[in-house]
Amino acid sequence: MWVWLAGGVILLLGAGLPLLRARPRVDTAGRARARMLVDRLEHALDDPGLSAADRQAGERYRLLAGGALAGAPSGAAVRRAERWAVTGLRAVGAPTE
Amino acid sequence: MSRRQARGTAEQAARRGRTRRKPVAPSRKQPPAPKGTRRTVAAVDRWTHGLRAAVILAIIGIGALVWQQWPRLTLPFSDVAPVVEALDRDSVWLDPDLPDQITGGDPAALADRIRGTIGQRPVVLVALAEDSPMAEKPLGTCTAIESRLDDVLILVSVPEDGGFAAECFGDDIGLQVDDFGFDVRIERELGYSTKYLTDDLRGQAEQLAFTYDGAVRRGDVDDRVRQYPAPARDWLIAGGITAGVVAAAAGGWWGGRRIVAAVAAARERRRRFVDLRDGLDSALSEIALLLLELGPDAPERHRRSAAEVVPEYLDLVSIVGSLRLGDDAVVPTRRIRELRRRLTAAGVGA
Repeated sequence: MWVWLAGGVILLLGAGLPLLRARPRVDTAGRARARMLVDRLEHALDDPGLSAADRQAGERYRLLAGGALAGAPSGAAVRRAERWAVTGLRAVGAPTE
Repeated sequence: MSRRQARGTAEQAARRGRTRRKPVAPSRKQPPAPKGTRRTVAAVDRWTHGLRAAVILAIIGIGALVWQQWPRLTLPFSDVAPVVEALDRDSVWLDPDLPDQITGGDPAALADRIRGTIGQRPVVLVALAEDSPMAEKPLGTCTAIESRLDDVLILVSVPEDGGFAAECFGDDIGLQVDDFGFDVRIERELGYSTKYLTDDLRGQAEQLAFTYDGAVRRGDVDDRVRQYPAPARDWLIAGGITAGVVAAAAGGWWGGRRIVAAVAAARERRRRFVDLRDGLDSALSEIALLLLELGPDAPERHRRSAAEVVPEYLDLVSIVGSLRLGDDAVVPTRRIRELRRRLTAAGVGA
């Protein structure tokens, strides 16, 4: 009886193993790139010569990019952070590449 | 219009850039599955290959078992079926049609005495009535029984037709000498020793036992004790259980693969929905920041535009907040884009 039960459990575990092992792949390269862009935006905001309007826009997109990167961001969140950071860099007139 | 003319016309039209391209039918190819699903399905496929190998091995194993057990499996279709079924658990089979002068009027008592004589020796005695179809070819009957009882020495007797009729033995009797020589010797010994015991089945059983003991003493065969195999019904039950377990395992793997794929797809749908909703949230956050940044010193035109879009903004916040998996997000996406465009047109955050 116990052998059958153990066999059944082993079968179920074997069948479910791919599901248990499957984890969404973390886009570390994308996340690093997004953080780099945010860092670059912060660096651009340190420029004392920025106009108030440009600084406000830069701060806005830095906030949005940082919010997207918070916690354990998904691939879509990382791409969104990149877009916000690039928008911010354009707003302050800094190079995006 | 000739074909050359037609081609020239087409070339001229192409040069002028006015050729019509054949409309391309929309591709029916499904978009590639997201990476997570692909990886899960690939992992499941690897397991499926393992399952396939296991099924092939199981089929080979079952085939080998069937080949090895073929005489047993065909037993129900054989004339000797009742004999073999009895000898699976006994050392004697007396034909029910044997006359009383042979059995002494009590076949059960005679069978008991023969059993006592044979004891645990791996020998069996089969006594056939003269008019039995099995008695027509005693050696054939003997080998038909032997093919299903591997580890015994068999004596087939037809008491009404001269007693000892045939002997044969299985492959697993533990023979230590040449089987042909052993066969000849045993046949001669049994023939001589039972020559005057034609009606005496117990006497024949004694001679069979003595002959076997002599062969053991000479070292012709190993000294063994009769092993009784499980009856055919047990084999069938065991085979059925084995087949059932294999089928259940295969079904479990198949069902498991389907479940895993379904769960992975559901997770992927959920992930896409969360990404979409987060994107809308983020776009609304930008609009919120734009509205909040408008201080008292902002131009009147900007403040008026902001006041106009606030109800729409609040409505969109409510809609996005109540989005559920499976809801259509096209309309809120379009409305958010339109709201952002209105602000840009008004000079807010441009």
